[in-house]
Amino acid sequence: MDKKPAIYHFLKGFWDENPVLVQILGTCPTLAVTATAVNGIGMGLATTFVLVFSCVVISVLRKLIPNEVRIGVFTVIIATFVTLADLFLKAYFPDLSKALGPFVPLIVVNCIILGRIEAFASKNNVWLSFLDALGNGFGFTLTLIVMGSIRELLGKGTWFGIPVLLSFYKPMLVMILPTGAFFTYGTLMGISNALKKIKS
Amino acid sequence: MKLLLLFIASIIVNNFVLSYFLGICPFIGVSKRLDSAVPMGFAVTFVMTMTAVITWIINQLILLKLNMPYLQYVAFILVIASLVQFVEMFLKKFIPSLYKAFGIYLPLITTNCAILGLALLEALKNYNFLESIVFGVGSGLGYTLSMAIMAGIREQLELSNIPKPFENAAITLITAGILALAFMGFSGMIAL
Amino acid sequence: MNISTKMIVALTIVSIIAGFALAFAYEYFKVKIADNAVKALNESIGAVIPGAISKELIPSDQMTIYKVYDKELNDPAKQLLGYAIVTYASGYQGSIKILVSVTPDFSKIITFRVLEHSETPGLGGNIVNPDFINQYEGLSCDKQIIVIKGPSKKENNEISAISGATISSRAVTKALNESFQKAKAIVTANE
Repeated sequence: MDKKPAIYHFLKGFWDENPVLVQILGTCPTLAVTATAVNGIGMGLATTFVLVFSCVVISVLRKLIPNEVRIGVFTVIIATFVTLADLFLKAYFPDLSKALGPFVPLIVVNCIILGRIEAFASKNNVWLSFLDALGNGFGFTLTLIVMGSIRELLGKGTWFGIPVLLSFYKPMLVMILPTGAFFTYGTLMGISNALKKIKS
Repeated sequence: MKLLLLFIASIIVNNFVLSYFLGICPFIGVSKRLDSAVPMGFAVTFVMTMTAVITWIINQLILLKLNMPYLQYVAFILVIASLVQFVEMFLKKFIPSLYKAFGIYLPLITTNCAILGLALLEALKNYNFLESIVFGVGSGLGYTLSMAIMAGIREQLELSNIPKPFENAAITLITAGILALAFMGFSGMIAL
Repeated sequence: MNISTKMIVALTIVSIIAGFALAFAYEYFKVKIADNAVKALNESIGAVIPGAISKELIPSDQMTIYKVYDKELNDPAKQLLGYAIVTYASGYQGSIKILVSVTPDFSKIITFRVLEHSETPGLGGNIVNPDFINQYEGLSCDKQIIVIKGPSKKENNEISAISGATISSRAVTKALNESFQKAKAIVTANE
């Protein structure tokens, strides 16, 4: 059915089909939690966890779930894994959990997850679904780290909390406010589109 | 009086899209034309209000009483999915023209983080029944407002020369950034 | 089975499994989560009352007040180190949760800590800065704390507002002012 090598499905999530910059999914957390790089990583990994487990479970069950009720079943499965991730964070990373706030439960409606399930995991075998989910999840995480780093460096002068630019640079407060989020995201998207154009 | 302040605050001060970053996907997707943005906004408002009511009932009267707050996410999303399904069926039967107009966007409301976000915020802030309704209606209207403004701007943008890589989503995001800046002026207007 | 039955069966099965899995997970994690909350509270109290060893919650449904002790001190009169009071301010962007500590006779502020806030980072967010908080240390609880826009005098129970964040500064001050008399009344009633 698919002539592409398995590894393609892992790598495409990073650039070719980057969920944030190309598929334009998962926009809400991208804007909301990238005021610092460490929040970006936390959110990215939590989402990857939910993405991978949900995709694998649904891929395993794909022949058993009746088509008419698939969205309902998918969302319950996703919501379960999100709750698990949320409980885990609250127990072992309480500061991160507080910083991410309501955006952890909002992973439930992160369109990346439902998007990958609908487009891929519900129609492909477990191994490929796993790779697809992992690739998309890591691509998402990487993009969040980039956005978080840009906003944190320009907006606070720190990177992962370490003061880097503060000695000579006065931080632009706007970068860690909503406006900065939109600007950074839009600019990154524009740049990546331009790069893709140049490549082809 | 407090309800009135909550209402106004939900529309402009704590605007769902521009302050809370909720509901961005359809915000980018549907705000191209004014005549699709506004009906979408109203659909969202309707779903939001119903969600606010039903999740309040489920949360306060069942989940919290039984001490099972961890079932919130599953319960809320089931409510939202069912609600959207119901709205879809209702429109298909009774107002088919509207159903056709919404097209794919209606089922997409389920994954609109604004709706789940509303349910979660309302639970977090422990609003009472009336406050929840006001919050739902207000947030929905605020959402509609920002969509309408964005659509108006985008219709104008179509006529200008935007660098190709920035077309569509990228320029919408940057415009949203400027809008967010403008809306920041409303902060602190109402001390809740 | 017709479609509706299939739908209901599938959803019910999945929901039941999900429900069990989550109930399980909740039981497993809840101890640690509760622990975290206790740890965080103790850490905050230790931060606002130096030398704190133990605490006792004063029964009241109006305010959360802790009596803070160091029972290892030899002199029993000195064992009560002070009171830690939780109070809320209506800030610029939402509610600000503050833990303020006062001397055992309720005469002076020891210090306070902002536990939760959603103020604008860089502006109202600066209420967590030691420079801002230090202004309150040692101020009198019996008189109102006054917010001034310029340089302030501690002798007059004044503090300087954060420039660009007058509302946040005023909100914090108002919450503190209002909490002292209320807390004192509750503590006295409880003795």
